Amino acid sequence: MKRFSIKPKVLCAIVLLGTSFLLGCSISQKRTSVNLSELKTIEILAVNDMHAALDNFPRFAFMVDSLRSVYPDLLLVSGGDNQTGNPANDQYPEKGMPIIELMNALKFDVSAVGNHEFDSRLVGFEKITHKAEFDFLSANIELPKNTNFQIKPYKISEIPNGLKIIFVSFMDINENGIPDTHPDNVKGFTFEDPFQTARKYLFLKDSGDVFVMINHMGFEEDVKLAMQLPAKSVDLIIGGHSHTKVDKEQIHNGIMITQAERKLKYATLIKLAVSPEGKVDREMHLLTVGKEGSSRADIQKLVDAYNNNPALTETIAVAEDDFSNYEEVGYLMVDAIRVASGADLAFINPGGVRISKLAKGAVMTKDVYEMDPFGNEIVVFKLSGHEIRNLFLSAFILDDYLPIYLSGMTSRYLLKPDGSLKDVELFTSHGKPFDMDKIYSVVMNNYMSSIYKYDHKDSGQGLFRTSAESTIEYLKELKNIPSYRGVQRVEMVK
Amino acid sequence: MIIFVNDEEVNIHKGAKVADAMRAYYAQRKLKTPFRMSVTDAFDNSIALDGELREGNKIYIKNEKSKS
Repeated sequence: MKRFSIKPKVLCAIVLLGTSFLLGCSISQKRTSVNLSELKTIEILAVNDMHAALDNFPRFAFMVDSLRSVYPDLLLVSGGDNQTGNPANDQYPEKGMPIIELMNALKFDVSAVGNHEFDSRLVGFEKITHKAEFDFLSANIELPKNTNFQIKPYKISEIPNGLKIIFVSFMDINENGIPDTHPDNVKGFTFEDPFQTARKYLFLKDSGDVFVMINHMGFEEDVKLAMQLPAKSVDLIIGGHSHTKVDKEQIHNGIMITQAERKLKYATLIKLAVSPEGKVDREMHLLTVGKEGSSRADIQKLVDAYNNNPALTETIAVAEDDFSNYEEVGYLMVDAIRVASGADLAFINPGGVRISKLAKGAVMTKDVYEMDPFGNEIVVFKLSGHEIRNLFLSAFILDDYLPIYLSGMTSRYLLKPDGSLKDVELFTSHGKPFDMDKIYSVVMNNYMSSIYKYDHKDSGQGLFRTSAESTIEYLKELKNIPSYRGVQRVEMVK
Repeated sequence: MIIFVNDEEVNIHKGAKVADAMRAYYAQRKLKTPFRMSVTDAFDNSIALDGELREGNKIYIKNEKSKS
């Protein structure tokens, strides 16, 4: 009797793809005996949270081609968050389009809608759903009226051997009832609870041979969902969002769950075999992608062109004067995040400003990434004057006796003779004493929000936008940057 | 939101990532955050530092997982 096991041609791909695949080969030898002629098989290559890792695409394309030479009907699937994390893509004239063009070139079949798909804003994302030659799926999303997003709740793919694969997708919704993105990015959308909606879509099971959920919910949420669904009601959940590296079989309540970390470091090859009785046999292998190894030259050429993104050297504003120290650059940055976020006040830690000079004249996008290279996101808090004072007192020691850059207010640090801090006095930007009982909206970066320990009630809300992106947005609006020469917002008194 | 790092409660902003929880955990213990960390979830899967978190998630710094 023949066995369901790896085909001889796969060995060629194994040699091409390296040792990670060899591991898969050894696992596949454990399969139980089944008559091969009666089985119908389908292979899926799944990635998630690519976050515009353009540089890994030439290598990934080579792997996809190699696998397709063995499995011509291979389905290529993304678990969402294709966008955000690479200025070459995020600052492209058509924001987010490079990764979509690369996904088209590799002939992706479907992608979940991840929270970062919304980062291209309403119009941008709508355009992306039209440019994509694959289907965007999300079943717990209701599209805004009078828009033309190409997003489906599910898709049934029939492959040449007659197998029908059902793909349905659900995305995570946070405490505010939206995905983890800036609220402005999802205006007009409504979102349903993914757990309740998933149960409603179980009716699809009879419409095909293999039932696959492509979720952007995080691994733990996928486990919770699997435990809430009837046992074995879904064959496979391809996950994303938590950047989890699932390198060994995870089966919960009879449902296999996979995830391949992020940024195309890995991809999961899933092999499904369906018996005439409808039993689905599953195996998964985590393959290493990365950048090293054979790659596809035509895709490399495309990536090189995207990396020469003219938008990065485009003038976004003009500085009317030279910036000649960290304070001047820091005050520009902190003003930018305050205005861009609409908060009353903004703070940046002293280590958050990485250049001390900015020449008069053209300011380019790449200058902002040099000022603020960390990819820090901004977080908004509701803090009283007393809580802000607590923050300043706590931060001074952690920041090696340097004051915080601030916008929307000024401060006076009262130092002891040994240089340690006695107290901090807060003032409005007009120099009047602060109302210490008033509640202010305050933005800071996520580094500050996690590292500073001080008494405060509100634990903060991430705005899912980086401080660099906020600065770029602000400078584009501002156009002419006024002089910051000699600006002083902090007085140090011994 | 509350995240559990090595079974210890850490209060962190909503929308925080694994790295934020790690920094908050070490700051709470008045320790410097190590330059390199290996973090796993409650199912012993490795997770990236920029992975997204949800209220109540449990994460562990490898080799420091509580024996409870």
